[in-house]
Amino acid sequence: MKQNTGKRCPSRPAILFLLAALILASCAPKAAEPTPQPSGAAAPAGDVYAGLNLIVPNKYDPPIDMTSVTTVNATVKFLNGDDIHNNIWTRTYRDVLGINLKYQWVVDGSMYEQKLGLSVNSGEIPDMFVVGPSQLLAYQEAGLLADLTSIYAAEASKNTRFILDQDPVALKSATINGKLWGIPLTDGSVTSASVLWVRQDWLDKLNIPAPKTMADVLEISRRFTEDDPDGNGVDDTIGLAATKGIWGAIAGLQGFFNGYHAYPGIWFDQGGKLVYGSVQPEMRSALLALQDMYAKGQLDREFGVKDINQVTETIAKGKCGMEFGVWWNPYHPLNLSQQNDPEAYWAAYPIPSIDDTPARSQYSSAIGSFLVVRAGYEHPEALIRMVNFWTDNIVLTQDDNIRRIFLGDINAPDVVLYKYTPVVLWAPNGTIETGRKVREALAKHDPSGLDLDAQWRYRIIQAYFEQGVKEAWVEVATNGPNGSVPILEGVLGDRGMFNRFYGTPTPAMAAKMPTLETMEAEMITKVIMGEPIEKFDQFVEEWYRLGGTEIVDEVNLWYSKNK
Amino acid sequence: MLQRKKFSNEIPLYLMLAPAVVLVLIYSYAPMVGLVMGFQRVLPGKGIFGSPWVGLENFKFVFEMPTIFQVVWNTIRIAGLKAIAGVAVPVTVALMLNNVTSHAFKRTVQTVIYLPHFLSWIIMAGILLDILSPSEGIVNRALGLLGIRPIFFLGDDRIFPWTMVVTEVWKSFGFGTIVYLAALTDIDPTLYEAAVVDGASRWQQTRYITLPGISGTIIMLSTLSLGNILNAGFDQIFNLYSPLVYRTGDIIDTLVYRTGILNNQYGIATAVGLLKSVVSLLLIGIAYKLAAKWADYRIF
Amino acid sequence: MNPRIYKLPFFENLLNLTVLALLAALCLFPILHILALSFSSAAAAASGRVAVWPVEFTLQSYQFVLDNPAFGKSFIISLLRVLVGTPVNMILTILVAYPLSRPRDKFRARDFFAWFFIITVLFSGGLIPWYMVIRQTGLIDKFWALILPGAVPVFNVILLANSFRTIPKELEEAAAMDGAGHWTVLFKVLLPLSLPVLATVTLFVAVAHWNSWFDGLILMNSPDKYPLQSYLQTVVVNPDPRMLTERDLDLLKIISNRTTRAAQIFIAMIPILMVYPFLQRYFTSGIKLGSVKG
Repeated sequence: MKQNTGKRCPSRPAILFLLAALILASCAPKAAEPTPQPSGAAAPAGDVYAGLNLIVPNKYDPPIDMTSVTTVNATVKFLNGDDIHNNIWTRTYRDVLGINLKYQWVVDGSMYEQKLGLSVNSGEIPDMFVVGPSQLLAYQEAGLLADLTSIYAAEASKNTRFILDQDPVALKSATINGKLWGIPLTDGSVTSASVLWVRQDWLDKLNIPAPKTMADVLEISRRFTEDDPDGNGVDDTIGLAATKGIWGAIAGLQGFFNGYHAYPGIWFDQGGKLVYGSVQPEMRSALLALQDMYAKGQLDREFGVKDINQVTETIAKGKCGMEFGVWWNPYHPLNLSQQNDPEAYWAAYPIPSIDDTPARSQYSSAIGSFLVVRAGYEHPEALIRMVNFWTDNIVLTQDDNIRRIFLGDINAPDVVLYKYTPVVLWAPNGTIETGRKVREALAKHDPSGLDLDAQWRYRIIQAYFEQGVKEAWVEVATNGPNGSVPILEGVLGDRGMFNRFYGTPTPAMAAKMPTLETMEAEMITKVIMGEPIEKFDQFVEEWYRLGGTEIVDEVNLWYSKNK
Repeated sequence: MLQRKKFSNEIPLYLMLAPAVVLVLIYSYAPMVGLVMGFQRVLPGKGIFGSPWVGLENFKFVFEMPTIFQVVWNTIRIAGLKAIAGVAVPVTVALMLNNVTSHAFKRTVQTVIYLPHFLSWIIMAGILLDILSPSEGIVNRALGLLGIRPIFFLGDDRIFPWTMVVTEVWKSFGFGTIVYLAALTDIDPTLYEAAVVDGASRWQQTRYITLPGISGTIIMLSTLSLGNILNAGFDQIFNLYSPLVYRTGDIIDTLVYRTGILNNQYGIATAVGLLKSVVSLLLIGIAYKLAAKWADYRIF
Repeated sequence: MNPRIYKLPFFENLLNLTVLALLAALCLFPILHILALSFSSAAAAASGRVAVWPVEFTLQSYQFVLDNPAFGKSFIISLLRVLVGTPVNMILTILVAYPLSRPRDKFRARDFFAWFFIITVLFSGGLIPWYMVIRQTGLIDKFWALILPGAVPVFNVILLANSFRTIPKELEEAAAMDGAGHWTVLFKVLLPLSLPVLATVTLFVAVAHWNSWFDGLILMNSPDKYPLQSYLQTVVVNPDPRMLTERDLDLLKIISNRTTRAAQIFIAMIPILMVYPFLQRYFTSGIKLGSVKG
């Protein structure tokens, strides 16, 4: 709730840069190696755009002023002499687009929403800024935002539309009463789907076949717990990781429930109506299975009080053999396990199913924030031009020079240039497409035609297979042939279950959902720890009684308008 | 004439107060105008003067939260226990330290017990989760040596409030001890000399000289801690609680936090704050009167 | 120096010392743990192998912290804040405590002002109006925003006023006989006799400045103006696992790095560790009557 609201702070996983450096150091330069561009420590001079094939819309002449606000986290670094007020992005907006972008304030990401609320409420409203879903609704209702409908229709470039249409709910989530109030900051939705992560080295050691069904998962969990997979002669391993938060991107149990065709916490269509996954009968059998696992010591006996840090520690210690988590888990925290045990290797599997019907992995819309313009600002179309500049030139580019100048230089991994602008829209299917290209190149043994980023991923995977660089497993387990990214393609197909409610919280939801979620977490934890399953039935009853019925009605009213 | 002289005598006092009064008026009283937001639906950009009035709706929202009464009780219970322990432990430790003759020892202990005050609850929570674990934690291992079965300090909802009290005391008793040590120095040493002459035992000295000597400080700090009776320690509980202990461990602040209303619904946040303030004011007012009446002691 | 006249008998003394030593050990433990973490390798720390002794000793964390300009900058801002804020707080505390410590017949508006200050502890208008007032007075993004809004620490005022009241009336009256006014009584009689409480209050005030983080985060308009604890707050957070995306990986890496975080926490404690013993000399030196009589 605290993190990550309002504005995201994207980056490539830092571990990749470390690996890149490692591999660069370990092998002699080859002819085919892409020659690194000289990365001057100083900021590029005036003719930085020379030779770049930039698509530039009509420039404002004379230049216009635009105030904004943004975040800078402790991780953000600048080239020499640059700062947040003067960098490649502010200079580009000024020199190429004719927009003088001035940040009224800059704050740590964790405080953005609070500071924005204070600013706006004390009457200090920037011309262009980023808001979260509930702020979008509140500010729109209060008449603070400019209507972007016609401006978007007139000014959005082909690429902008391409990116925004790739996610079918993107523009819809920024639409209120049929009008467009913000530009959604897109990202991959399907990347929030879980896969099953298993210690492959333990499977091999104990001679267990790969998991195909949930029954296999239960069996693996039993053997990982009982058969001393780490071989230290002590009964100190568990089958499956879980946290006190139950759900999440790391060690979240939603993947386990998905294996039983239960979809906790999301809304899905059943006979034309949206229903809430946590109160469906499928939850029951999954809960019983977890209860059994807990009773047999296959879950951490104390998972009910352990937060993500403690679970990370268990994984790092090599005491846990399976977890349900998102595709990037090898970058963190699974890499810690390999750091402590060089042989550790976590392999990704699609969520197995309890029966013949394939399991579907649940995921939600990635749209969490929107670029908006203050009502009354003279140049609302300037925002669209900034978006166009990004989509036309940056996000889909294969030109390594453009990447180097606007996104970041692979030789200076800590300087991530796109963090200086709030206008950052990722291609919703970007992760999947990069992965596909890398795998195709691997199959052909030919990295030519890959952009620099994909080339590095290719080379890191090669380094694992050819030079035995064990640390490189993280890339193999994600973008490799049997990694987690290809599984996401299936999820995007018919192996996924999308959260169909992506609107702003309805009134009853805002008022009641937190309590209902609290009840749910309490019920699930206690049932897993041995209280009778009837507690689940009770919970369902109470859920409807304490506001659930109301919420279901409101959500379906929304659904009838947004099908 | 007498009146005038009296007032002219008081002029320096007003002069002394003036700068502080001005600052407090600006930075504490002026913002209090915002308390009206508790009765408004605060619209962004409209502020205090433009938002519509909604009567007691924000308060209604708070009291319609399904677990609110349990949560209020949890808050009062945890905060009350903390207030008691927060006086008892520092007083005891101060008295013990006062009996130490070695200055080096005294100073070292005094410094060391103050240190946990500087670690944030996020950090302390990480440490506590480790040492309080029923299976591996050092505390339960020690208890095991005494033949006591492992206790799930953070996961058992009967124990959890006590765990909060003890860990809070752990973190903050050094702070309180310093105040009482300072108060001990205010005691007239001749009283002890006289007591010794009268043949008073150490216990009698403590009972009849030391404790009465710091009773003012004790009453004062206890009264002030009443102002916190509805603040049971958000940072601590937020970092340590879990669904297992919601029944006894969920407090007003954590409940309100989970509703996510703090950032957007300023009306409700203000209403919660206002409720707490009124309760605190009542309690402090009562304690003030009681102390004046029974102990003949004016807290302020 | 010690107001107690008699020593405890041997065994009681031993028990007393033992219990105190145990308490001290209990309080020292988390600090030793942090210290040990800061000197351990990241891998050892991540897998929970560090207790109170460094595992796989390394100075890397300190290297990282010292190479990090943001940390140094924040450190200096915090030092400045303490150096400026503490005197401001102390002067106001003393100036308010004195009138409030006068008996009611000497200062008829005493109760009014006492409650005037108490109310501010209990009631606050909330964040928005507070922010607006600070903005109206032009302090947003200014160093003084960290000093002025909290310039009157009411808790400490009460503490000091109570201490003033314990000072025997005769001393003040004697001074008044000699023609001393309020100012003289305050500075020549009360303050010299209140050194332990003054030292205590100074410590509390300095520590409060050193430890506060929220105002820095909210009132400053750029991270390079954050005081140390505000900066630390951005590094020492527990992320909500439900909100994590791959874009948070670099943040995850930083906050999961327990060793550098431990090093930063430890360095942030050093100034207090240095100031404390200095102030401590005054904690136990108040032999009020004795010194006056002697």
